[in-house]
Amino acid sequence: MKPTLPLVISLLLCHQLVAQHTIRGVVTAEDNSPLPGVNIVIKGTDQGTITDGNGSYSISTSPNAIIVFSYIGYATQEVAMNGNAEVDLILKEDKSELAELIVVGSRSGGRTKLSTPAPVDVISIKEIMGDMPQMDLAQMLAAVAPSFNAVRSQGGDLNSHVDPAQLRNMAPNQTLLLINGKRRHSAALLIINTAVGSPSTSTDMMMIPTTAIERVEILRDGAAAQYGSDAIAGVINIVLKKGTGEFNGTLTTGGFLNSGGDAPDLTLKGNPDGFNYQLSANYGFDFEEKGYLNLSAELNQRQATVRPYVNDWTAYDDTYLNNERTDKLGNPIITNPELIDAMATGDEAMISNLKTEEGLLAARGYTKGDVTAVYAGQPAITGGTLFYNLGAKISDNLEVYGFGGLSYKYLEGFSCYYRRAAQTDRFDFLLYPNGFRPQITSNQNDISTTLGVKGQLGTFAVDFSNTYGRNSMRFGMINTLNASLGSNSPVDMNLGTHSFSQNSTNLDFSKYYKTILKGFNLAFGMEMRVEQYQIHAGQEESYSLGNAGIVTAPSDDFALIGPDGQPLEDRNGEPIVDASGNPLVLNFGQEYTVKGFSPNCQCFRGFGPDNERNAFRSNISAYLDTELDLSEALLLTAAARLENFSDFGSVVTGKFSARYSLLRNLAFRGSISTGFRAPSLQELNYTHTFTYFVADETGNLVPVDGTTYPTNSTAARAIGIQELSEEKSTSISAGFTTKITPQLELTVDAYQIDVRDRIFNTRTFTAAEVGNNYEEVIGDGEASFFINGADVRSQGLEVVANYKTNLNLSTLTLTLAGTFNKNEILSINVPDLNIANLSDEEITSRYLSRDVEGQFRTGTPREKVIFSALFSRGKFSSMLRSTYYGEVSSRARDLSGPEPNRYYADQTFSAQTVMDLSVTYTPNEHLRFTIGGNNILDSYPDILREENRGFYLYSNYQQGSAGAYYFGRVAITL
Amino acid sequence: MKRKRIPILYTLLPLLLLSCSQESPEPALNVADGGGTLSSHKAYRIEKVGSAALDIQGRIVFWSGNGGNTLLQIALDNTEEAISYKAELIAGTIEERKETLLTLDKIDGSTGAFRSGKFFVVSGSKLFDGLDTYDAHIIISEATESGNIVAMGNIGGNAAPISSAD
Repeated sequence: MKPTLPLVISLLLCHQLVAQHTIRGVVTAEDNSPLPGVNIVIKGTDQGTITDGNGSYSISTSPNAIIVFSYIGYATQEVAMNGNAEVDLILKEDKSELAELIVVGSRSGGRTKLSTPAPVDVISIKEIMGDMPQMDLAQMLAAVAPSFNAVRSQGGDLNSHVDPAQLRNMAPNQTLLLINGKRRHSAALLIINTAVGSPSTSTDMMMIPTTAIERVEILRDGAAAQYGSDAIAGVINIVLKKGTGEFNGTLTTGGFLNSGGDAPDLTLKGNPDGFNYQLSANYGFDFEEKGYLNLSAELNQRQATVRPYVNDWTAYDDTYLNNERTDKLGNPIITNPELIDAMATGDEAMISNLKTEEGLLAARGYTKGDVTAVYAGQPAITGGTLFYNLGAKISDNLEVYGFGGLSYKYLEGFSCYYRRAAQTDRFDFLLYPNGFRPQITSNQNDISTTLGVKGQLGTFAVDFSNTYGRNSMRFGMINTLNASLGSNSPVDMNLGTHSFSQNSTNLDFSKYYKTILKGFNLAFGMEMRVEQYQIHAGQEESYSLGNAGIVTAPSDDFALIGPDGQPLEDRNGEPIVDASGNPLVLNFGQEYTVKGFSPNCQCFRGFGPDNERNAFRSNISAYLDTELDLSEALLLTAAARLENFSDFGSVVTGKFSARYSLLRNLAFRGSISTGFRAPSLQELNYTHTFTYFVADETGNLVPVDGTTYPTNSTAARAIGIQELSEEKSTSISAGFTTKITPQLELTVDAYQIDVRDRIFNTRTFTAAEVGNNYEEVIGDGEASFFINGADVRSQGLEVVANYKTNLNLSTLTLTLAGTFNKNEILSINVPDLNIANLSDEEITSRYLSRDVEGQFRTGTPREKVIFSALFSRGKFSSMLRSTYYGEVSSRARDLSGPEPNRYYADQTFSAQTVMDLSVTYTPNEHLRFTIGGNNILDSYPDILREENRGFYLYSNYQQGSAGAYYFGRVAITL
Repeated sequence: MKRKRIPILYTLLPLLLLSCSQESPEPALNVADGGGTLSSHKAYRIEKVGSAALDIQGRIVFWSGNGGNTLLQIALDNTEEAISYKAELIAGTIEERKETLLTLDKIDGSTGAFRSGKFFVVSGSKLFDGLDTYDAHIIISEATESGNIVAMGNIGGNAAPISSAD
């Protein structure tokens, strides 16, 4: 069929009415036993049903449709109906169907998700992506897997540039991400503040097109002994599509309602915003049944959502309104030219009006929110990805495979407070007469490729592969300035580039011994990995101090007076005088900071030469992994891994697990394992500086730096901060799985994960607080560090129930999944620091501050429950999902309020429930239309209490504050 | 290998859709003409009148406004806090003292500057442009019944500026 222009309309007009025909039958196994729960789908559609307890089915379709019968452990069959009304079928067993289902957590032939010794969620992205309002992988998984979260930051420096994916409320870097079983590299960015209160790297899942994905397997268990570093909370394995001969394309568009939520006076209700478009395509080529090449492409464009906090801060102060500001030489700066014009006419009423903030705003056509409101919200994104997955049989025993892709993402985030005209340290009239709102941008490039060969070597299955991945992010700032450069400052700046690359070479062996008891699988292998992390400096103006506010005396006896003969004024309008009240006098060449303009790029200092890094690491590991079926009912597994890192030594980890089938449909499982996470190169080497001003003994303003120092720096050693070491974990889990009826599956798992030496970052220490001549190391500035700050514990209970049934000609699938979690800090590990002028209590509060502690314990929901219902009948299907987020609590870092009644502005945010809904119409096997929404009832979280409002107005750790989202989607299959 | 024809329009859709560029919030740049730093000026001394009780002295500065107006600024030291002062431009030199050319705003004794604000604005640039030949002087007097003159100074063509810039 050749579609005509315009595509969507013509396809709508191509809808055909087809006569429906009911087909019935029974599906059995080779021994004639009925097979309940067999999936029956009309090929090329979503319409289908399942067999009942007697193996019977009934489905309405066209007389010549092709029906696909599939069942776990049995070979899938496609049957052409050819006008028949009754079709019985015998399905044949096929173990390879098991291997295709589960890869993660086992190196044997593979197991179903109910037969694994550890809990595994299998999410068929291919099946669900058509109905979901979420477009990118991380948000989809967060919507269907309660243990999975991807809190999308709505501002705050670079935090919104990568969605950090987390399992079980643990840090993003305590979950290992694989693609087709191979380690995926992380993004170059080190997120300083994640939802669980600690710094972390994370893989950016937006770099992986969802249309390339067959399914995602989430192993909710420690697995460092099997996979190496990072697999503490669990492992996520993305299995790419291999399909051939079918083109799948989708176009999705949507937008946010932007109703203003529950705070109409504190925000700006605007028109719908955040419009986004996603175009995806997938097609597979087959090579005469000897191989396949599956290609995927995805293009995204998302406009920003703007969720302003309209505060009461001053837009124009008196010095601005009355034209009282001067430059460093005392020349007047006319900031209110409207007033000058009014004074020239002598209109007293207009003169009075223009001396007020309201009057000047009106004269310029602005509201207060236009020139003071803080913008938070989802960033604007433009990006694209191209992925491939290929396999080719070279001989009967040898297959070459490869996969990988190229990705690009440009992002503009709301990261900064509005720089108001009243803020004299960061103001330039010529560039931004009414203030400005800087935004941080990032250009992210990602490349990955895996090439491997697998086959039989003697009696062993062998897999040899090499995986290379590189992520680079160039950071920039737009609508900004370096105030210390004055009007010569650039307004867009390059802040620097971070890059991270990783190369892993793997050699794996496995062999299955059928005759050892009921089966024994032996696997062993090794991995060699090399990583590199680089920081390149940005442009000089982003990290420099200019002289727009500094006077250099051109001669001896140079008096600091202006053309009016009066002493020069500092940026606050105070005269610069000596103790006698006379203007200061300088000698030739002496410098004085008249106006303490902020140096560096506003909002985020660029990475300077002092922040540049080029760090390498290599590690080599070997593992042994065994699985023994002692009997039909009892499975035991054991694994051990030795890993040696070039920069901090060796680690040995182990895992034991077991699964016992008490009854045919009831099994118990449990595991105990040790794990570790090597500090990332980013955590070991990241350094960044910010600058502020303090007055010296003469009153002269001097800039001082606050710096995050690496732990291998002199600043760290001098204070007694130890070099980062690995986080070590012990995990215990126990649970059961059951198939209560052929249609109803239930799994319940409890876990406890203890992490020792979890990495956090400290608050800052000043040289004065440290004493011991620390100023010789850091000057007059402040220092902060990443540290192995605390031993922590995460405990939880995870429940997943699935029910699928057919009702006459309809199918109903219900899922109820919940996670109930508790995080604790067992101990804060403060070493003996060389700090002379702080008490032990003060040192502890700087080492692990109150707010960070609170964010880890209760900053994310302790309960998350997802209920979803999928109903399909004929050409229509619908999805309803309800997500419950338990309450969260935040703790303030510092005291608020006046003396003597100071208090901590802690807050608890009430539980939230959001609803997603979609309706799909499939007129024929080639087309599918979906409309729906996320958070359709436009639910917002609680507003922050007044003391904590600043950048944000709402809590960010439940459903977020974007509000209701509605979308439409067209999917084409050819 | 089976071939599938990919709809041609499908490959063109990216161009159609993604030609919509991102709209970043633009900076708020609305402002009247005439703003920015003033540099072009001429400043003249104002000296204490010999018989005055206080040593009141300072400067009058004529600024060339960016918007085509002339801005006058007065800065006096040692004024009496509790009272106001009158400022007038008088034709001729101090010795000649002819007719009043221009009465400026009152001066606040607590600041030594205009009570109404930093500047007194004269419409147009004619005053500033003609300063070099402006035959005038300035008189500062108490805004009281006595009207005592406390300070004065030649300006324009009658004095060399103590500070100037083009």
